[in-house]
Amino acid sequence: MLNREIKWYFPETEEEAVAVKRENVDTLYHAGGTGILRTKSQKIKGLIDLSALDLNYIKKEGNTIRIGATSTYSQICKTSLTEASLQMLKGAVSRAGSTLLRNRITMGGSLIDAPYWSDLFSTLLCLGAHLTYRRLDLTVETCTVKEFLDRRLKKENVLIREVILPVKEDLIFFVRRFTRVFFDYPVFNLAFCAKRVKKKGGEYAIGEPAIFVTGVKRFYRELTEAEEFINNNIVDSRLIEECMKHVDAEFTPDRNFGAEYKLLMLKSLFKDGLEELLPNFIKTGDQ
Amino acid sequence: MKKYRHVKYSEQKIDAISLATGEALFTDDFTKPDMLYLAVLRSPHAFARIRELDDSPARELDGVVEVFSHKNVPRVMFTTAGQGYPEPSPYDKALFDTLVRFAGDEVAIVAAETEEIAREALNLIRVDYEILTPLLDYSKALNEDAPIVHPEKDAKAMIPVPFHPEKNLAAEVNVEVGNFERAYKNSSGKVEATFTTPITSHCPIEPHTAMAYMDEMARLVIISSTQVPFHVRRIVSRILDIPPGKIRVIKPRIGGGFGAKQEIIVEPFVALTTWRTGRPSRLRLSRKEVFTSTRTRHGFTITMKAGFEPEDGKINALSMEALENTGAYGTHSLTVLSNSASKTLPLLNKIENIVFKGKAVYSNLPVAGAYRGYGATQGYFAYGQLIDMVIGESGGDPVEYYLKWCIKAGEGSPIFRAIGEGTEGVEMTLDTVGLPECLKKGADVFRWQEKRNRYSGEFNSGRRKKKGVGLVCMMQGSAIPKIDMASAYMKMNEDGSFNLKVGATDIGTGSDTILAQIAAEVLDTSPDKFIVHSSDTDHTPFDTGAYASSTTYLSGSAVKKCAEEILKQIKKVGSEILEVPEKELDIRDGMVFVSDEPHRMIGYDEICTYAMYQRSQFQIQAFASHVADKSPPPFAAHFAEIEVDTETGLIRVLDYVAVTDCGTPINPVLAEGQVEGALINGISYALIEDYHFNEKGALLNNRFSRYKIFSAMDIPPVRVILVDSEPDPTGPFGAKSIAEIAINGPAPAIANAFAHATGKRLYKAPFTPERVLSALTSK
Amino acid sequence: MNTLFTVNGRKVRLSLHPGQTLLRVLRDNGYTEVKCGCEEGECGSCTVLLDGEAVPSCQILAMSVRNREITTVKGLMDMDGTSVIPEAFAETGAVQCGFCTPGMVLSSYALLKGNPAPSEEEIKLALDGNICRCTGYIKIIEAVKLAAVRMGKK
Repeated sequence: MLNREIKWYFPETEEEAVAVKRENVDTLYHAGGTGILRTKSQKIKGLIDLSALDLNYIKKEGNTIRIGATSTYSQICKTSLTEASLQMLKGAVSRAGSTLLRNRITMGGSLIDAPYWSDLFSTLLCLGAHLTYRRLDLTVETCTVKEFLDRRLKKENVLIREVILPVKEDLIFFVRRFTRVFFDYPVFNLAFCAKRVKKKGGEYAIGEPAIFVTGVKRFYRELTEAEEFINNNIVDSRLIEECMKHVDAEFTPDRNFGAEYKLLMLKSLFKDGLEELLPNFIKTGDQ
Repeated sequence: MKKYRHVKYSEQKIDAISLATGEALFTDDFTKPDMLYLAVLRSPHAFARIRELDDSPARELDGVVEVFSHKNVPRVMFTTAGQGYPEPSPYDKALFDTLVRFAGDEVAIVAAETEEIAREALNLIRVDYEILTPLLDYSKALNEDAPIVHPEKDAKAMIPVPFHPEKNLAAEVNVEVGNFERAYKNSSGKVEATFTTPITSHCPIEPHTAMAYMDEMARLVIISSTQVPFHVRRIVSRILDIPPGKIRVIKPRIGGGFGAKQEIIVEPFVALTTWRTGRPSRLRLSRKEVFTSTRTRHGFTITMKAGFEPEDGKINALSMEALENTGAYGTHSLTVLSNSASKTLPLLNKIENIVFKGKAVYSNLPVAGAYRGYGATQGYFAYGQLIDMVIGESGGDPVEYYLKWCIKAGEGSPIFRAIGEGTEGVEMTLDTVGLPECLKKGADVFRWQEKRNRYSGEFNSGRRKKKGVGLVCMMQGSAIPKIDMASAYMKMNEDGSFNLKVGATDIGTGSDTILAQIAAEVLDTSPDKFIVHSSDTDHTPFDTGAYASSTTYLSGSAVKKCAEEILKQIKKVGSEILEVPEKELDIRDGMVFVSDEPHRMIGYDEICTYAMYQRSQFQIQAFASHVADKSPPPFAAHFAEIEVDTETGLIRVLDYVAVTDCGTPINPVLAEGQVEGALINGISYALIEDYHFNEKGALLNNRFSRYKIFSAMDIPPVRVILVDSEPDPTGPFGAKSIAEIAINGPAPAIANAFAHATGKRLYKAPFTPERVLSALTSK
Repeated sequence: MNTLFTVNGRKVRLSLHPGQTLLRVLRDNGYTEVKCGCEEGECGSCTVLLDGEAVPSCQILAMSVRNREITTVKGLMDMDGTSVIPEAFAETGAVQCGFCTPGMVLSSYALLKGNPAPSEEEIKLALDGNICRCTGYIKIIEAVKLAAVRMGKK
């Protein structure tokens, strides 16, 4: 439990929420609360509950999917929208934690908390997702998830508003996580997405691939070499074998697995994922 | 076979609805006004001497009522092992000591008005530790220069057994039958291997909890999540110097035990607090404390050798050398060690030359204790694989091999007499052995031959994913013969219902239901006519408790005897009312009737009412105790089919068939449930469970997010079969035990399947992918 | 302090500290049917329904849900007048020690409300956060299947 004297605030607008935050040190924004409880921090003096804010939605707007910060993983899994990028995100968060936790973990909380075992980031990075947040001075900023991770901004001072996924045509993707048991915190999480580009002669090739892995040193890594190697290529078993030579990531060994093994497993899951995509590259003829 | 009316029937567990609707009460659900909450200060060091302990700042904190430590609690040596008296476990522990022996050992407790204050106060106790070099590698425990974990002079063994704390030796067992060395030398086939098993946790979902209060007659009442209420009373009485008659121990519903709650860990603290302060108190351990500071499964290193005839695999000589890590204290060290041999070595009883050398050693790691399987789990990991290696070398089929060489009905084994529970065992010829039936049934259902042939070429195929099948056979025991005692008391009510009071402790197994079924079978009335009350030291008769696979077999026998006595009384009254000699009476559905004139009958309700109110009045009531002369083993054959990903080292269990002979299953669904639970625990033991320590001996994976156990998503397909075996003549309606045996199978069965699939052996459990990969590249 | 909550369909005033989890607050106020097994969201014995969704009450700060419908296993009985799920658990032998069972029952209920005819895989997924060491889950899965059939017939 947290400090017994903790103070709760229940703002109804973003402006009110930010004002409370600005005026009270050691006060945090609260969505699902799972991340806050894990810290067991007795330093927290106040919590600003965001549930009354209008941040619980998943909607399509133009060429984007907008996911409000207080949307839970379960809500994402249950949405009826069928855009491929959302399907990919569903795939990622539908395996995170457990059913009980997915009913409580929110998009916004995960972005702030960003634990190394998060199931969210590799996919968001792959998709080139954006997010918007409000700073203490009330200004709203938009940046990519990558910029958000790279920027040295004090995360607890920002109020995440929403995550924006691009709607991508002809998206092919896979997400893989490595765990000991099903309900576990992934050793690493791998996401792949690309465009399926139709070539002359009815063949398909990979276009604009994005490959990200989390759970590595320095949180995430983009497998740029593999991306470059695979780009514009037709995926077949030979290419998959070759591609593995271009997969590299730096892992930290832990009590469960050595760094070398993690890399081996990364390659193996990457290979499995690509193999699963093979049917997408069956020549359909030029119509 | 005899048709039963109430046993061999899947009666619904009598407390199931109450549990499923949240009505049933567990220890932590009881409350009293004015309660004190306890928190335990634990050693952060694996091995340290307390130079000075200052509790005054903690005492000054508002809301703190008492602080207990070695400074104000007299030193009494005891063992936390909830065993019969005198315990085979050494008295090597004081409630509080100036020497702390593992990271998590108790240093002091705080009693405060709230849980939060108690926890806060822990930070205010100032302890000056002299940090000592810990003994973290138990394989070095017997080295000359090893740190001595128990240098104190007052540690002692309660029975005449080897106990040498000055050498870190907590227990030793040496047994030889025939002449191993000579027979081994003369054998042309030889195999030898060393097997290692991990330290693991029971993980009952209910953490260890106890509560105490003084009743209106100034007696100490303890409510506890225990498997052994009577041992709790005896041990608490001794530690705190309170007469047993002044203590009452109540066992409410228990949220799983598996051996973890056969230890007296939390009860002394609440008893001490309440006895000294007069106020109710409660201690509920956190999950972290359950992992770190309750009990674990003993880690073993076992080296086995077999000398055999290569033609038919006949084993001439078998040796088992076991080194057991008992951790910081020696609870169950001797008996678990003994069981690693006594529950394995008799299985192939034609082996004439056997030697067992076992040593249990101390280390500065968490304390090991009783855990479902109790040494047999570790023993079968080695034995089950070594026998498979012999079979492999001699080119036979495991099913045929076991059928040929396994112990049969009417046979015994010199091991039964040679190894008991610390001292000598009990000679025994087995009345029933259902292992052949298990093997035949299992091979058929599993399609053993077909799969074995299909995968026979896998090991040298170039395939990435290789499949294989493996088999292991096992036995366990049913209670501890001539040591454990159970008793039952029963009285009749005027509606034909019965109060059945037993010391047998239902910890979730369903024993209350099973015991009601046994009584119902004797009295031929519905099981719901029995109001079962289990485990209250004031109101139920003595029973050693829920351990050693004993409740159905031992307590069941006591209940059966008791019900038979009740039946005599019922017939006596019936005879008086019906004016017919007793021997001409029969019973059916809660009625007594005249055998030749079935229409002349009288109900149990009328019989009881008559006995209470009419003539020659008395209370129809009876009691009975039971001690077993034998410990008839249940048998099992387990078949595993696995797939090994040779690239990643991941093992997937594709099919698992467990066939068990438990004599008559009193309640088949509950019996299956015992096997299923033990199996899944066993599979996760084989694949993922293990304690990880840092270099200073602190447990790293001390919570469920790090120490993972299987969820519903992880279970492989398993099929559980109970063979329709011979009823055991010594068990109630032919029953033998079933609770433990199944946990022993998965690790050796999967390892044997791995050998079939890959031609390599897994000598160390759990089979993590990295260990698998290194096994695959080994010679 | 005291705060108004909605538990099992009734407005109740619960005493609490603002830093406490829902689990602590419920248990301290007598809702002992909500069990405490790990207090880190890993075991599921503290499961309650929050507006019909199964959640781990140990991972929720009580104050944040004071306007939501909280249902414990006892409330499930009152609310629907149904004991189909507990009965199915009892009949199939899915209850051993029973400590995890209230949580299992609530997770099963949440599943069946949204998906009256779940596949075995969907049942397992719905229960992935409720751990049990006694049963090996086999009879629990059987129980949920049985409950699904019975609830479908009602």
